[in-house]
Amino acid sequence: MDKEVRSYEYKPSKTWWLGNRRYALYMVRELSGFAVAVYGFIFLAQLFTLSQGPLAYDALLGVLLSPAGILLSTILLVFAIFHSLTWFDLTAKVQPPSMKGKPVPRKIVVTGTIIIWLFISYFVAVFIFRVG
Amino acid sequence: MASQKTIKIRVKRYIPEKAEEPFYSEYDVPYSEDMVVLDALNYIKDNLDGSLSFRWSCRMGVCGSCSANVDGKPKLTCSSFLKESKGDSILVEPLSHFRTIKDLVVEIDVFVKKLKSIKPWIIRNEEKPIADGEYLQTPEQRDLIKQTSMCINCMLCYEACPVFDMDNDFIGPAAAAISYRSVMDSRDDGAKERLDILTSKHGVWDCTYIGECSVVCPKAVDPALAIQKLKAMGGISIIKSLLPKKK
Repeated sequence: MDKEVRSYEYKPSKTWWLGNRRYALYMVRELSGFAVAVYGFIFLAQLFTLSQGPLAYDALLGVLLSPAGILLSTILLVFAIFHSLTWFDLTAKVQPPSMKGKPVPRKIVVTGTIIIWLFISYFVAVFIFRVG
Repeated sequence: MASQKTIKIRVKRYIPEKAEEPFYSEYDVPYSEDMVVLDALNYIKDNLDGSLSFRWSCRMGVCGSCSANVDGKPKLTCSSFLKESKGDSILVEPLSHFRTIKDLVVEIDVFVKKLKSIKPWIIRNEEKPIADGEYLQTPEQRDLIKQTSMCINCMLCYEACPVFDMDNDFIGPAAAAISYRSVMDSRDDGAKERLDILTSKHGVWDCTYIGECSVVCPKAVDPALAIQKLKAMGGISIIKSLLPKKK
């Protein structure tokens, strides 16, 4: 018969993520995902008010263009950029493309994807501002 | 005669017969440039305190038995040199994501069960007769599994994984890396079977890709990467199983 062995279980502290830079960055990455979700919610709210007519849309736009709205947008933008950068970094790790049977160095993949992202963002921005 | 240089080794102890809670013991150990933490622990055991308990075997980073937290970082004590320590003392603690039985000895059943669950052996649909010889691989096929084959089951990756700390049921880095090795093995026919296990509850989906498991691995295995690849394979396998089967 198995004899019960006494053992001790360590409980994780609430600040476990502060002792290691990578854990802390991970927590910021997860938090930035929440910021992206908030941005998505605002975008959906914009679409909804647009369907309700110009009055509703202008009211929401007024809130978004207030000092508090601009501050919120700025914070969300910083987090969204950080979140996007971490994803480019992860993508290069998870699915490294190979050329002539050899994996392309991670730095090249990350830099390349960021350049493509900025290039596309530039054309999207030009399109939006010209149409706007 | 110059006195022998010493270094302080601070060890987190747990002796259930003596105290309910862990406590620390300090030992002054003779220091030399070529000593590793395991040497210091063995010196303590042989000369200062025979009651100190810890696991070890090969002394050369192969068996994976001597894992512990050295100065707060998950390491093999046989590969951690005393000279790497920045302070004038070294803190040695047990792996905290596993239950401590005594001092630096932890309960490893939780890991062994995970290892067994992913069937870390070659699964064949049909065995060929012994007379037909070995199952051969090309160097390219071997390269696909070389890195994950280096895993020594030291469990340092589990110590580095906060997800495992929060949920002991999570399959975890080493078991997943070893699964990846089997799934990618050209001689193995058990990919579907293993992916079903890995994509079930507490499988690879629980991994949030913190990546610290790969950082602490003493054998340069990349379990975090293996898990992400298994997620991609598992996703494809699930989609395939939902598609109508060809008659």
